[in-house]
Amino acid sequence: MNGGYTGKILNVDLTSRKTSIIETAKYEDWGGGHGIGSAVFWDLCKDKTVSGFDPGNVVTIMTSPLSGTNAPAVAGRTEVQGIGVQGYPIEWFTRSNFGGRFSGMLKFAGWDGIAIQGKADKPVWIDMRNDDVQIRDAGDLWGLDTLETQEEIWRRVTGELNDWWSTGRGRDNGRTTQRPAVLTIGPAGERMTRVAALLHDAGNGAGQGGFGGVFGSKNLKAISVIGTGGVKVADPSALMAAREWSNKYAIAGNWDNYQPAPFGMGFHSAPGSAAAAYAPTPPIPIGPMGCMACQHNCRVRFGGGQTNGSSCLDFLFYMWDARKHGGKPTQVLQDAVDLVQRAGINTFEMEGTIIWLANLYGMGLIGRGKKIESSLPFDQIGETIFAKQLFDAIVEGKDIGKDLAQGSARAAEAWGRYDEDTASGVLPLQAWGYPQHYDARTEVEWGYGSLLGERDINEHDFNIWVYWVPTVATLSGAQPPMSAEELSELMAKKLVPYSDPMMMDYSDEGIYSESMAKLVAWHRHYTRFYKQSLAYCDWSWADFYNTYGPDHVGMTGEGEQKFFNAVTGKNITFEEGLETGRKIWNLDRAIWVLQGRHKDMEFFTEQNYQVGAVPGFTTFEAPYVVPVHENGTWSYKNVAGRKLDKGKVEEWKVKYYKLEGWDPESGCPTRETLEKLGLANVADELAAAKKLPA
Amino acid sequence: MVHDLPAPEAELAERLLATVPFEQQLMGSRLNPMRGSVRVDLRTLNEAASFMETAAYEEIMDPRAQANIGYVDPLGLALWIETVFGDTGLADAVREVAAGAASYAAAVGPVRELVLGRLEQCEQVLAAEGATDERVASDAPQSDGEAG
Amino acid sequence: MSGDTEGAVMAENEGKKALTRREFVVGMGGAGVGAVLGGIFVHGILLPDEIVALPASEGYLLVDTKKCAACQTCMLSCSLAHEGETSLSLSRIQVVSDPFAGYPEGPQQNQCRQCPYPACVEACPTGANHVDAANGNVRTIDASKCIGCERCIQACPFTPSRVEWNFEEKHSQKCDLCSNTPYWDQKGGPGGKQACVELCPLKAIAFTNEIPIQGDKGYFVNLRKGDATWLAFGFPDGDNAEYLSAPAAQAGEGTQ
Repeated sequence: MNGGYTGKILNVDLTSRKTSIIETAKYEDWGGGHGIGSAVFWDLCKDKTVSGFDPGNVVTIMTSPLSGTNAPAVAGRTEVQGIGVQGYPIEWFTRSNFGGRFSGMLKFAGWDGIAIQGKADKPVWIDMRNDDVQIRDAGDLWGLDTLETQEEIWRRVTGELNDWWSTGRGRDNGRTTQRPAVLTIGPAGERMTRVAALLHDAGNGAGQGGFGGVFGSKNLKAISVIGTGGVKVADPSALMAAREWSNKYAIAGNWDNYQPAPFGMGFHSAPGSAAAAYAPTPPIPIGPMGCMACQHNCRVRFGGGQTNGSSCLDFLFYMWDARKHGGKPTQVLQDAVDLVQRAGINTFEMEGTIIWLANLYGMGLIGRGKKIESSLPFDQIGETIFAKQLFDAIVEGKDIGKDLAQGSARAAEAWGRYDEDTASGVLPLQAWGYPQHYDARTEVEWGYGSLLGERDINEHDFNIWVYWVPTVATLSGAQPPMSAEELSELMAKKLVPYSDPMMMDYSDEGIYSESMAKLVAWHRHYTRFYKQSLAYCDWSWADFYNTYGPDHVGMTGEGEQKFFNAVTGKNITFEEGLETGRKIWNLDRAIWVLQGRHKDMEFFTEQNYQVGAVPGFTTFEAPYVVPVHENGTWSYKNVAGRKLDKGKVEEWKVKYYKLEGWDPESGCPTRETLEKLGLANVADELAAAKKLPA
Repeated sequence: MVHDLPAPEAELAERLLATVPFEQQLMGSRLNPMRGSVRVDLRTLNEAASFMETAAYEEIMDPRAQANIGYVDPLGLALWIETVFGDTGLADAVREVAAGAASYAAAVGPVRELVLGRLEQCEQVLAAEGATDERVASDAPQSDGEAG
Repeated sequence: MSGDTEGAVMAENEGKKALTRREFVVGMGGAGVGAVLGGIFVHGILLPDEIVALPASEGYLLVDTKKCAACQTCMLSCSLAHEGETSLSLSRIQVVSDPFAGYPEGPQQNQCRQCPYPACVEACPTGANHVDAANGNVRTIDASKCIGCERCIQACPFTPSRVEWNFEEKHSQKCDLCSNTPYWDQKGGPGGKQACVELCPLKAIAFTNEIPIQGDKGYFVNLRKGDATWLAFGFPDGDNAEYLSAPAAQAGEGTQ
């Protein structure tokens, strides 16, 4: 028996306000989440070249077969896809995802996902109660912030009773004590900005891609789902055993032998570790908070409840607060995070935007009477008043907010500053209009992955081990848990089928090597299937090095498919999962080709090729200590200050294309490659669009 | 080591205590694994030296500890001192300390001490000259991160 | 509730106030009883109508909401172990959470108390809801005898009811301390393991053989105190009047 899937995907046409059912079985080979989302998008979106704001855009919200199960650090994540509105210069088909419990609740209501197309004639919200789906008027929800919207929908669906609730269809339709899971936009989405996020519960956001604005363009305020069913599991005993097995790799299974992990992330990490660093001074009480069935529970619940569930960039974008207030976060940060989430604004985009604005202000280019006229209080960056006025300006389309609502890349273009500021790094964009996250010049797997895709990858699988651990260890004069050689050996074992230790060589030679192409390919395939289709969380997976694992070896290669097989009854190997990832990656690539992707446009911003000055002097460059293999020896080395050689990057791209079976001239997947992956229909559509390589 | 440096002329002392324009600022980086690298704009020597800090590896890797590495590249600092402030002697002394340190952690204390000691020298020179009214920034609140 | 319970206990102690057995059972099953009976290993007690009460369970679940991350691993593991599917609705422990509430508010861990005087057992007309002598006197339901009247669900003095309707198999069900888990290869029950206890990532659920002390809002339980790992996470172990550590409560502090 196959488990994990409910068997049906809700297909909503907001224009006609009609719903229908798509059978999941047709898409099961894609695994779930992103894979199914891409395939459904491919089938439903007739013109893939339209704007993300066009009613023809199709947005998919997909679960995984592991959603709603007790598999760890996977059961609560939801994948969102469609044509985004953040990508620059082209609004690429893109993805985002978020944690919490939305995907689990979708499964309990009997749905593997939702596909949304069309545009409602006036604001609506979708009310899902098991298989009863209603498209309801949202006129009175329009204008509410993301927290108010959720609380109002809770009141409307289940009331405030703390008791068993039934759907009203009799006891045999099931009961629940839970609140509906709501995915909503705030005012920033309603105004169709490109910097608007989708929010769910507290601190769960899908920011990248600007899907908040896409919802707004469809007049869709929110989706609420409550379910009383369960997830059928093919081999329940195996799933229970797998969860117990994985506990050996988690703190829960080593409670009396707790060892602080060498990072706040990873399967072995402590509860609260993704948020405790942002607790304000003076301190307030904090307790753990986690997504559905998570072993990690990386977030925290704060005294007072403000910014509950937030982590990382939710806070990081306004660490200007700490800069102003003695180096530690304060209540100002709490207020700024609360404001940005209530408005439903993408914090990642805000991070780059505020750095840029601060630079322009420092350069005397923005402010009252300046070249870029603005009355925002730039001297108050780091205070609540600046955050509030900036967010208000974006939401209301006032002052510079009118342009910033289009994202920093488009604002820079409007102000005539894109070329200059992205070349100098004053506007820290890396590729496709997305702010730099980790440095393409130093940690190339991050940069290459983003460049070959359509957004900042935001996948920390290698980042922890090739950057943070060696960098912090080196700077603080400590020994990292693994030497560079040990790291290369561990990764050679884990990174099948390539099994090439040179994949860890981030030297000036290594970053342009065939081995680096393998690393990037492995990463693309792994994340496309295991993290974005099965929905394994980036804060816990991949599990390469594990504090509690035998010889510190983590579960990756064994754990991911163990849960998938137990739930679905399938029997895939780890490598078969990677192959499905390759297939999904190729389908995505084909969609981008239809949208206009070509080798000749795959460039980083100029700063990556031009600026490589002394760290900390003329550019924003941190020390970047990475594993290198030089003169026959492995070591960790600071490569900060390195700039990319454009010619060598171009040569590397060809190596990568060839490895993937893509045309070296265009970067488009060939017919042969697509057919090998079972995607002959995709090749046909590319050929019809005259985009298939000869 | 600072005692090896001859006392600066009043003009140099004033420069070393001054706030530099935005275009000439030094960028530091505050590192914390869960918080990423956060740029810090440094516009006085006092700020730059005071910002340099380290903590034990275990503390930095523990989000609850809220420990940071306040990173200013020592060679970048030396170049800044030399090109922006014009103090070749101090710049060379910083380079010498950095070259002798096994790690950033080992360099932080001596470099900070060296630079702050130099600033103290400047204060004394200016006090002796009766020119303290002119100094600009050494006692000012840290402006790191303030875009203005 | 506590007033009713105090009245009931007083009646029992003094043997004066007339009280129906039904009133007594409901009152004693509810909150407040443990404040009086805590620490006593009760196997039976003489009720006002001279019917001997049921033997006490040999096991209880303790929860500490201040440790709970509301991840619901316990619920999904409970239903998986018992029903072979993961379902919040079929879990015999019900964790509900307001994600916006500030710590320490927010999560509620609604677990069956294995009441000394189980109203659910009392309410069952067929004996389906019974005390299972073969499994440490855990209060459980024989599905084959359940006629679906839901009286046990209504009788549970707690909200939400700790007895629930299994809408798939059409019978009531409740926590059996994992005495009967067809899909979990572990020995359960009072002498074995419980899935929720084993798999809670925060150790926010514990098992005890002794009747816990309880107040209106739950047991007097602090699983944080003395937990070095919890403290290492940077979370507080402080108490307030509602959630005293067991020793303090036994000493009479904080009780009414």
